[in-house]
Amino acid sequence: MYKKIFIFTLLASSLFSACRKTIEFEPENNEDFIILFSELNPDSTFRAKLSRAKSIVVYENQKLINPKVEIYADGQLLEQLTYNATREIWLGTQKPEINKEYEVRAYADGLKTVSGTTTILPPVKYTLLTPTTLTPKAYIEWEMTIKDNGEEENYFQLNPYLYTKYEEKTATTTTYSETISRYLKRVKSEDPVLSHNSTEKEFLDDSPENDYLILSDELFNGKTYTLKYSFSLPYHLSQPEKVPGLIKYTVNTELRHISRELYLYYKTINIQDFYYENPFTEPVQIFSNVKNGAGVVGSYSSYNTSITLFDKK
Amino acid sequence: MKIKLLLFFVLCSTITFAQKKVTISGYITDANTGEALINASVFEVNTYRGVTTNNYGFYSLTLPASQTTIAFSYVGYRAKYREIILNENKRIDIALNPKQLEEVKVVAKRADDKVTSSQMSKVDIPIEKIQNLPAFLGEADVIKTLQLLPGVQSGTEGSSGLYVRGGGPDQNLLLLDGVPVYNANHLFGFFSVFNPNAIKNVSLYKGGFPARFGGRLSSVVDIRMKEGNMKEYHGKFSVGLISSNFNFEGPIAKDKTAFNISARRTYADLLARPFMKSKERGGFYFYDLNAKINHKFNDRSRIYLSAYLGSDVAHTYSEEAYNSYNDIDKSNMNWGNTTTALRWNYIFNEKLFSNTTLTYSKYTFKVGLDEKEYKLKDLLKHQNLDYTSHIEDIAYKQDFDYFPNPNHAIKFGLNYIYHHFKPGVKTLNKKDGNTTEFETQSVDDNKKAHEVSAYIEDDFSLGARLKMNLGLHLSGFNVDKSFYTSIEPRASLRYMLSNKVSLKAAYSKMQQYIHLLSNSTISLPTDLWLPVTKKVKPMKSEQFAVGAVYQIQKGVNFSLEGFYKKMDNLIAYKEGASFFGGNRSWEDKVEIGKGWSYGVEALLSKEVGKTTGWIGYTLSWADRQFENLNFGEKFPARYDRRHDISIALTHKFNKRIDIGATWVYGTGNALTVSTHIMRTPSASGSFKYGSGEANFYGKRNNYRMSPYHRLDLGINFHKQKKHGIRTWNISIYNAYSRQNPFFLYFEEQYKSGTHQSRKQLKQVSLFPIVPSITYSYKF
Repeated sequence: MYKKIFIFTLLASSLFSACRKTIEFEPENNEDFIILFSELNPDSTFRAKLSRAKSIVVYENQKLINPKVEIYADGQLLEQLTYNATREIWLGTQKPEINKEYEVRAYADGLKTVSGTTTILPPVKYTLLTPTTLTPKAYIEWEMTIKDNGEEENYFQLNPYLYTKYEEKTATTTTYSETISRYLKRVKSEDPVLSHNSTEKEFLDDSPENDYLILSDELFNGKTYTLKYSFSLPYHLSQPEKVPGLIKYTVNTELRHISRELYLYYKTINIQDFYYENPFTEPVQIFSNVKNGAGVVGSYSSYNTSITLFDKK
Repeated sequence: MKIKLLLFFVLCSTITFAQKKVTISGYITDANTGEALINASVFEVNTYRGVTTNNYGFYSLTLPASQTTIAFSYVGYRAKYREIILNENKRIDIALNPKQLEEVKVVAKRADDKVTSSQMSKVDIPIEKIQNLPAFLGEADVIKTLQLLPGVQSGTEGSSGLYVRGGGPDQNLLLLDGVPVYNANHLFGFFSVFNPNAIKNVSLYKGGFPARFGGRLSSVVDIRMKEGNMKEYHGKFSVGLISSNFNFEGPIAKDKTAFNISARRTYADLLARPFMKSKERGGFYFYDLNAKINHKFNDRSRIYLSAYLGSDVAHTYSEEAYNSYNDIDKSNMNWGNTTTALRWNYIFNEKLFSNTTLTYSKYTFKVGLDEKEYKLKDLLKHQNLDYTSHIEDIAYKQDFDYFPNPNHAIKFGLNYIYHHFKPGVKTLNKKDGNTTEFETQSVDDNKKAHEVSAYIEDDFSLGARLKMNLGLHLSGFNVDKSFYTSIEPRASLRYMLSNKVSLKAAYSKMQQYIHLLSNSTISLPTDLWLPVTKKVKPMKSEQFAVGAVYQIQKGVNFSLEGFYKKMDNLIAYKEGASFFGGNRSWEDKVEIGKGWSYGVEALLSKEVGKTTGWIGYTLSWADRQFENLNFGEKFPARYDRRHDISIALTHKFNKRIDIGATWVYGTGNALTVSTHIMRTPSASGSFKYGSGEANFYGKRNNYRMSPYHRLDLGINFHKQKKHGIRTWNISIYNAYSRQNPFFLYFEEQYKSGTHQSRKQLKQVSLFPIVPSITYSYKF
């Protein structure tokens, strides 16, 4: 609705023969900086992604020169991460520990050192109730019960994904391949805490989507809450027995207990994107806890369950 | 010795008090129409002791018994002098005749009220001035004329928003016949709801607020509707490019009962209708209806009933067929105000005047959306949504004017307002075939609130040079289980340096119990008024002003004012929050912060002669600070405008031709623009440019738009016809077609032969040169 009003305003304005022109624009503070993105979790080794902010007035993406990433715990250097060019990620060898605080620092020649800290959260378990509809042909309706401790603000991210395993046989060999596909966009829910892709919202079209499927315990602080959502399945897997080579097909629901920084980071990305083309709203600054730069250093712990929809044993 | 001195003083006092005093009182009216003249002067010629009429044209002047000459004057009217033997209380009603323009007669040697009044930061604009200045598309507009005054800004191009002394558009108390108007905009702010044909007088208070006003931080716009001609029937109609309007007034019973009715409607929708396809059509229009009736029971008692009804309506219809399917979508949106005031004036005696008012005000916004999908003639899907929101006030007000002697003019009264806030009622029906899938209704924070206030103010003289207006405004607001109170002292002071120069100072404390929630920097009908809560406290402000007024010659004044305003408990949306969506209440989505504004305003005005108008200049700063916005640092408010110049002039060559011109210049608005692009993870988890990108903004409002300036010209050709006066008005808005910024946006520019791109800043301007012509006939 809001968009309709906005579009109507613009149309009404254009009746008065709007005209455009290019403005010579030189931002006052145009210094480049490092963007640091680090999601730490106790199940994986330390990791970070680095990039260089690109001034809006230049064409080229400048590269970081001699970048490096270090992890600190209790003020002491824990380890220096190594760059994995294939995955474009900086990886460590150690895993973070739950309830411990870590600092991630990143360096590059000619740019200010950036850093951010986060504390690793413990996972929050949930109970996955029996799906009310369990058919691989269309969608699955989930009910997930989360028990909130009520002691502090908790933030979560729902991370549903599909796991498929294929087998390829030749005359002499058999090879297997596995894929994990995140399908956040396939989630539909009328649940108020998720506020995502509800039918009403589609009709009203007046608020940002919850693309990252994040939620806070604001509406169920200290209570047990049953979250309801459905997950539509890809059409090409609707008859798994007919898919050549498919031997296993599972749907996984990962509930990530995410830090506040991550929650705000994802939330503001979503909202910035929604309002970006609306010149009449105040632009949304993306949350960052990275000093001298941008990005986020956050953490999550996950709890995972899966439902097997097809298993050709 | 001490006892003797005391006796001497007591004796002197007794002599003073024993001197007989008499009071003259009455109404000052326009001789042609019988309309009351507001702020007309009544003074004793020898001593210059005098008073001004109140909002109903009533005055009361108490003087020692003697034989003296009393002058009755009003700008634009021929003054009257009366030799009076003051031996008993007298009722003297005076009817003043409008001056011919050529007449420039000096009324005694008393300085203008602008110099002598204790009030500062107030501007009165005669409605004729508003009507004679060039106007956008020929639509004379009260609010847009106010924007031409120093200390007042318009916001964006063409907007009817008011930003007074660094305050927000929600901090203005817009009163139409004493009734608050909550949304004063038509067509998203391009026009205001105040039809000049229905209006008699406009006063703007930017500071030095008298104690009788309260409830908003930054300004009071007091608009009074015409009462109706008590003598004869008169009317006026005009036909312009976008609207037509008419006004008709006259006596129902001569010199006893009169009415005034005005109506206006735009007709772009009617003109466009024949050119629209039957399967795809839409339209927009707005209308206003003002009506007032007043009746004199006797010399002491008079009643007024005034009403305003206005609305904007937008609607669309589209029908789309594909294969055997058929979609029909309908939408309509309307919003508008209804205000009513029932007022009773009663003169208890020569010194005590009372005004009792009952008012009703409602602003409603409604949206209806309806979508149907048919297969052949079978209804497959049907969903519709109705959304309404409103704010409704019912108020009772009791005001008294008490004039104990010429050195004191005391006003006191009380006010009660019942507010009903209904910020959003949504009803969604969804049907699949003939089966109702669901029907939901959600009501957001439906609130009822009670606001009470009482005030007392005394405008008094301490000797010939010093005059003060001291007042106190007390208020209380009850909503849910919260009760807020406020003690707001008000003070204005004037010191006459000479009979042409006065120094002035003022202090006001204000408190505001309602907030305007707006997602946008332009005025949208979806903007919601909401009351304070336990969490979101009332906004407060304190304003100090000092200044001087110099009367260059009669009717020509120069004023200079400096002001400093501090505001607390201002609200702004949290980063990334919006009113729509989500399930948290609005109070969880806002930040509470502070604001400061300060500056200097200069105004040179000329009110008499063939050429009249003003030149204004403002140098000002406006800042905001919120703990969680802009990293907690102070930032310039969006409408922080360093320099603001306005020139508004009219010149009458003769009875047949007059011209008007306005020129405005303002520093560009501040806005936040992106400086860098940064990578962000996409929802699929990818972290590459192109897959997930976001904008990095430096500090809030880190960029200035180019300065705004514009020249408007207008010319009126009048001709006396058999039954009245015909006028052709030709106006040119933005005469030199300046491309003023309306908004800015970035556009992607690709390097040829590569996929590399950068952003270019583009400016959108709304109005190039816009000529218009209006025909009007006054009879």
